[in-house]
Amino acid sequence: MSDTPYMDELSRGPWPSHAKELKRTRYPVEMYEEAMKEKYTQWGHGGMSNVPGLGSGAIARKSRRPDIISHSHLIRVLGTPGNFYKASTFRKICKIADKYGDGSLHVLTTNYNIEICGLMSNEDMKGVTLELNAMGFDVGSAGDAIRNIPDCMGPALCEYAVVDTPRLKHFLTKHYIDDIQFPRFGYKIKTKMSGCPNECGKAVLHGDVGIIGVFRDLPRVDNERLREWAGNGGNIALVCDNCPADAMRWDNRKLVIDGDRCVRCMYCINRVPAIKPGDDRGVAITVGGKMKGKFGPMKGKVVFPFIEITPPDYKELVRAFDRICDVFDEHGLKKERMGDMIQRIGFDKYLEMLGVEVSPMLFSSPRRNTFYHWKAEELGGAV
Amino acid sequence: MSNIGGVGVTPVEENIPPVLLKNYGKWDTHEIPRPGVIKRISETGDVCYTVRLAMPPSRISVATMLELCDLADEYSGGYFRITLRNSFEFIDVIPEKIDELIGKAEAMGFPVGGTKNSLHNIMACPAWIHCNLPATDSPGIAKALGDALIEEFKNHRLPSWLKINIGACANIEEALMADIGIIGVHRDQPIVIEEKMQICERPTVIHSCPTYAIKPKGKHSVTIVAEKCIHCGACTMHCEAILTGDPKLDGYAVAVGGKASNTGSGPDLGRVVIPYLPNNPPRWEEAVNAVVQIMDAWRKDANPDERMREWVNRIGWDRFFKKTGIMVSIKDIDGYIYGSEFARSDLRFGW
Ligand code: SF4
Ligand code: SF4
Ligand code: SF4
Ligand code: SF4
Repeated sequence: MSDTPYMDELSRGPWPSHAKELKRTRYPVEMYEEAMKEKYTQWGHGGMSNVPGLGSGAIARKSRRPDIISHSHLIRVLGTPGNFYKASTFRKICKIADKYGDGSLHVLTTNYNIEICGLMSNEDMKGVTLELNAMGFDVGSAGDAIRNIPDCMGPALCEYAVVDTPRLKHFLTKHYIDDIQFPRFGYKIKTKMSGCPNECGKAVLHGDVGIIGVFRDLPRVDNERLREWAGNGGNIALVCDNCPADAMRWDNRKLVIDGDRCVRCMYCINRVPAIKPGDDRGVAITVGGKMKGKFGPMKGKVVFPFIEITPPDYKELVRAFDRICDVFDEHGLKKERMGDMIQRIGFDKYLEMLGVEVSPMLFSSPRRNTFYHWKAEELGGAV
Repeated sequence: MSNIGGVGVTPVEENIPPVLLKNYGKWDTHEIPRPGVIKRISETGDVCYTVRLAMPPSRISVATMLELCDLADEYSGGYFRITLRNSFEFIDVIPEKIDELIGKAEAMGFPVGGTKNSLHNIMACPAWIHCNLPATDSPGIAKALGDALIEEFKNHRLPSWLKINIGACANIEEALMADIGIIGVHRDQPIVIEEKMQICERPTVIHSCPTYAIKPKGKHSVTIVAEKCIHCGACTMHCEAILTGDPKLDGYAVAVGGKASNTGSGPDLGRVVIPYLPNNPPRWEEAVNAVVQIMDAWRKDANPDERMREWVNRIGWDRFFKKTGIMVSIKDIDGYIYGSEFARSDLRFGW
């Protein structure tokens, strides 16, 4: 009989199998097999590993089963802009993973890093890092630091992109590399980017900081192309019906989008090639999206509804990002996620700390209580 | 000491094919000639074909990645991409060779699909493969689900796309962001290993508990008030001396309706509809059944182009339970932070 009946079962069937994959590596398969048998993980506590000269990126993992393996560390490789790879480049990463690790990879983590797994010593992790550095890659994205700043493929291959997320990723990673590699905050800062409100990057839901491409004018309609599309069987009536704001009027010749109704949701743009995002483009920034932490799962909240994107120094964006990090640095408690900090402080006070301009774009509705504090200076000297 | 780190990431130009560089920002429209294959068309008239594969949950071997690199060299000029759902996508595939590539990839055990109105690649955390906190095993569940739903991955026959994410503890960032999410749940009382408490930062552990269940004890240790624990896992994550997990009690919950895009009713997190199912490796029948039950009800009732959450919003959560046949329990009622928001104040019942 096989030593690994559970993994054997998980090696069968049409879906790609992690069990089969693990068996092609030097990963200690008994650890996984035993977990399934016992219905309990065989791994122990994890933490930051101390690689001299490097603040973060290396993660140490203890084992509860020293009879099988004593420990197994991993290191996170920051993903490329748009997560595009050349086979010749990826082969080098594979070679490094095989040389230092157990030959297994995590492609990609929830934060879109590549993990090189099964490293046994700090020396290994240092070796991996140096070899990656030599090929223009870097490690990071662990601990209470700015994590990897993942992007979507943006204009590299997507027709909907309103901002250049791959180039933003390249710029932001370089600009903040010290804060990515040397943890200095109370807790991690996960930043996510999407090139448009379709939000493939899940920046609002997932990011302590979310950066999302937006446009302020209306979707652009090419009526001639639209007539042709409709003539070839395109169902414009269905698209008009599904517009969440009921903003589209089509009279068989011309489509008019009502500027008082449209919410720039992207739906018509996704469905009709003759409709494109508007030209007045920038990014919105949200803060505080997360799953875990004291107050549970939260959606991100818009704090900068529109920021202009100005390469090469992206001045306004950097100023906003710095401000968000500074307030978190100053007011966040140890192991308190940004969303929890904002909940504790109060969103109104938090916005004051950020120093943002108040506008109706900052809320989905105004408050429904009158429980606010009036400062002496707001009372016009009456007290 | 040698210089280490400080490099950043490679420039955009380094890993994308010439056709993408030439048409950067000029992509105009796309077609999906068959599931898994996308034809992108540029304003310049250039086209770029991509072919998308399902990936094994959470871990892949160097050996397999090298084989995929070989395929990329042969069929797409060596270029590929890992999508935000961890699919493997060949970029700029030679059009005449698409069928051949699909044949080879499928023969290697990599189904092609996951575009448009299909099941997209399933996302899973490492859990029992390499983590200390899981209450269940995401890769195992993902594999069982993928096997059961393979035809949905390979065909465009769902009302809209279906995304399934799995996280094996409350720490997961993904499960509430998918149409269907599976979240590991612990139900046991965390235990404190008093002799080890010195290594923990006691104030951090105490204030990390959302229900103030952790009280100082003696000079270094803490105790946990059992009735107050809601099994959020914050303490076990921040302190090595507090442990949770019990093979007889651990399991997972099922959530529905997470969605990131701004179309329809906009972005929202999913809601937990099944509070607990037991761990049953290696085939996880309960998870598969629950997902099929939810998917089938949606498929039967949804309008064309209607995501899971838009469907629920249209029919109401009350009818969601009626139509799926999922049992409601007191655990569906939120008594936590948003409790009062999620209670019903309108009388617009869906009897
Ligand atoms: S977020 Fe927008 S720009 Fe980015 S890949 Fe998705 S649809 Fe394209
Ligand atoms: S962008 Fe959305 S809201 Fe605006 S017209 Fe199109 S579908 Fe309607
Ligand atoms: S979601 Fe939980 S169980 Fe899964 S890898 Fe993360 S911490 Fe571990
Ligand atoms: S699991 Fe959460 S609720 Fe329970 S004691 Fe730990 S921190 Fe408190």
